[in-house]
Amino acid sequence: MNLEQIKEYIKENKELSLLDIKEKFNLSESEIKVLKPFLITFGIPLKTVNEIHSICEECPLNNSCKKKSEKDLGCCN
Amino acid sequence: MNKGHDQSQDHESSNTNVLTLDTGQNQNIEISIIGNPNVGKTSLFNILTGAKQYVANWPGVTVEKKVGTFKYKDATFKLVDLPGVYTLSSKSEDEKVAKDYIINKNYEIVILVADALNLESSMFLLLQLLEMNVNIILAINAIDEAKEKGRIIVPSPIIKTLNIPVVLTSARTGEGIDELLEVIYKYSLSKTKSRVKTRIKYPPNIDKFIQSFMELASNYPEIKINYSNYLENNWLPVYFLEFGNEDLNLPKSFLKELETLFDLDNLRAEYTKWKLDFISYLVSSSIINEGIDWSLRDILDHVLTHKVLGILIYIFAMFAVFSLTFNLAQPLSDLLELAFTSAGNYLSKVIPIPWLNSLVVEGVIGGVGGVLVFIPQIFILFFFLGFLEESGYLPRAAFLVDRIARSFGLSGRSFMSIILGFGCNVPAIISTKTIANKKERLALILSLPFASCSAKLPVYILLIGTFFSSNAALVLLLIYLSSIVLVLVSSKFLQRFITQSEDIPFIIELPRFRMPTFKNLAIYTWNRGKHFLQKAGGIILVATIIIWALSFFPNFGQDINSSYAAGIGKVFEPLTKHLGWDWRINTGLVFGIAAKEVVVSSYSTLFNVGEGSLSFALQNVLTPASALALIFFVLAYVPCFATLATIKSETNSWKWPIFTLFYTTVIAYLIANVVFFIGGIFI
Amino acid sequence: MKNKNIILLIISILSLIFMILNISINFFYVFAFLLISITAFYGFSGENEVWYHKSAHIMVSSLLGIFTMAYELLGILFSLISSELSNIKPNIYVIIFGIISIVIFIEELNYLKKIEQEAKRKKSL
Repeated sequence: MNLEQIKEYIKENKELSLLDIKEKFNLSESEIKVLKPFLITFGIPLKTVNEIHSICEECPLNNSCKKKSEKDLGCCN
Repeated sequence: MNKGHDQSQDHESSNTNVLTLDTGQNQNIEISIIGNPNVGKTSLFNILTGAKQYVANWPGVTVEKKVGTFKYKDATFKLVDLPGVYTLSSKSEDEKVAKDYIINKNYEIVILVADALNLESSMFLLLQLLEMNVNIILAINAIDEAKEKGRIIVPSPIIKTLNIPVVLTSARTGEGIDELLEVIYKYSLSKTKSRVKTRIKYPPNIDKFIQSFMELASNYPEIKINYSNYLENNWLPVYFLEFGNEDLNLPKSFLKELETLFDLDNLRAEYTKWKLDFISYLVSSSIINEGIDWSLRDILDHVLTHKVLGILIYIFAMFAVFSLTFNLAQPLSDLLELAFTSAGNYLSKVIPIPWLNSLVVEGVIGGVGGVLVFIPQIFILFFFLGFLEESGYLPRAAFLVDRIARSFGLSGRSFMSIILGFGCNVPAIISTKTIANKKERLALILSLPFASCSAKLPVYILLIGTFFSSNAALVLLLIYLSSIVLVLVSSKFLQRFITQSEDIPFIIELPRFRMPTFKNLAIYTWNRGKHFLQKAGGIILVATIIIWALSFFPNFGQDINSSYAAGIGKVFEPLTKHLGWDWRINTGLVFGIAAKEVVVSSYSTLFNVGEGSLSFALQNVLTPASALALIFFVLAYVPCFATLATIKSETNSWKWPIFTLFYTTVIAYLIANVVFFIGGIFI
Repeated sequence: MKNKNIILLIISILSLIFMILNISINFFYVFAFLLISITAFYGFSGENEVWYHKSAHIMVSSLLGIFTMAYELLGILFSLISSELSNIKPNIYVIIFGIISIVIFIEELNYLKKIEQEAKRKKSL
């Protein structure tokens, strides 16, 4: 696993999935898991895209909203 | 890769007395729990503390702080739950909170919780804690799930190499919890029985650097004062090597001196390589995989996230959802329509007072009923969209479209906001908080009202069902794809006047696929659908009564063409006549600003018919081209009041909601004209 | 399955034929079969060096076939529920292709598991 090459590849492509890196550099599942924190130290944040539900606390309608009790179920979308 | 072992650790020659606690005195012994995100840290915290816990915020930040207490034998422990992190740096608020807590050392022990299925990702943090000379207990959680998946964890290489206690646990089954408690008890109360601490043995170059760094730092009193916590156990040079000077801000003269002594880039690379090799050695010696090495997720994602095929599959998925919506809902919708017509007929015979009869039959039943007949379509659509979301497919589509969004000047995760916008624009606008570049965020906030929210669905369903019933799903698909394109083009257009965005690279971690349960889908559908029902009994009902009153007065329903409602619609007729929209269409659009569903209820009232014949009435007024223009106008024109209020609060200015009001209307009008022109040629 | 090229060829040609047969029946199915065919054809592209490239295209195209059949069955089920028995005209092409897709998907999945076990056995020897 060549960390410098991986870092350059990500910086060139801007937005990649972990699978893209895995396939490009022929890495095993275990190696990808080892890699994750190293990417953060390189200043490449790891983002998940399963946060479709938004956060009620930050909503400007929070005070008047009646849907807050369903917060965990992604109330307002 | 296995060089790590010989260059690993040796034990400090003099055993260190770490704790000075007295046993049996019932003091609150503070211990903390740390780990990567989603490793079962909170589950373990809950098992240990039970109900004895409270939630607060870490000082100065919005990150949640969970604290609990528990007793074991004669000792009382205070347990602090730290945020889920991969590293201890200052790259995020969570990491900063965790790092500051660890570095201040107001605790006795840190329990590092690792997921047995992802043990590799926790090794970095483990090593970092050892570099900080922290007393660690490693709890490898979800050991039962790992066994099920053919993954065997052998803790002895970690115990021997790092000299730390390791406990295998399962928060799900309770396995290893007693052992963990015993280890915590013994480890934290070992007063005189000294604990053998681990000293990391670095490669010679790194050792030399650490030594020189510390010697040099001793000449700078400001470093001694400002970084006293970092200097303990030589962590400052290691942290500097790993994360640079970004959040340290060491004196420039000090850095210059350091640069004359060392090639820092090369040294950094050497340190990273050493760390990677060491972790790889630990991983290869402590994890045995007997299960399958490939995952079905990777195989499916290979095609589903393909930049061409992935987009085509997403279009196919949306096409299927819309087709199912129209095909499955129609018989149910027809039944509801029949029920409302029968209720209207019955009440018109029963109520003798003419104005009340008109209010109830034409206003309430006609108007609100006209919207409620679309309940089956709305619930079925949410059900299947829920399936796409709950199965983990939607994040993949978001990732794909995000790549396209980059060429429109949006730097990632913007499609997530658009997906939210398909439900409601309010959370979509709030979700833009994740975009760091303020001006890029503003462009997206001002463009998100073009995301077709679910309130517009009844309008689409009414007009598509009336004019394009044979290609209903295809037309709805076209509207949604146009909506995405409109948001992206608008963002690109607005950014021309605002600024260019920075392009920060990042990595996306896609969630696992899972089969949604019927219960989850039912909850998802109900939570979204019920707001439509609440609106029908609230704002839609009120707006319908107002529209009825405006159409009934001043001539008591004798001539609707000279009513107040007609007066409002006729103001806009010079602008809309060429599109084939008369005053009734315009009045409906004006009232639609309150809530888009009101467009449909107002048409039911203004055309003075029940939903049953509204389609016929509309066919007499509109051509297919003018109906298509109307659909696209509704897609793009003025967002509802709630969205405007959100834009105000998110931008802290009235300027932007007012701009949105005019901007969306002008764009909607232009699009309606273009669609009418093109539609006139092809339809 | 060992000969992946043949499977990919079968899927792509069969879906193309069913696409043509559906032109006068249902546009959604035309789009579905076209997509399945394109997905299978993409499997022939040799540019990708990932070992499971062909398997992935076989599995996703067969999954699309299964979902298309599920769509058809759901339509039939709803017609039964709403007592519109006269409206039930099952699309036989979709059902045939769906059944073939199930067989291909299961076979490919089993094949992948088998080669994994063989690789492990060789490694342990």
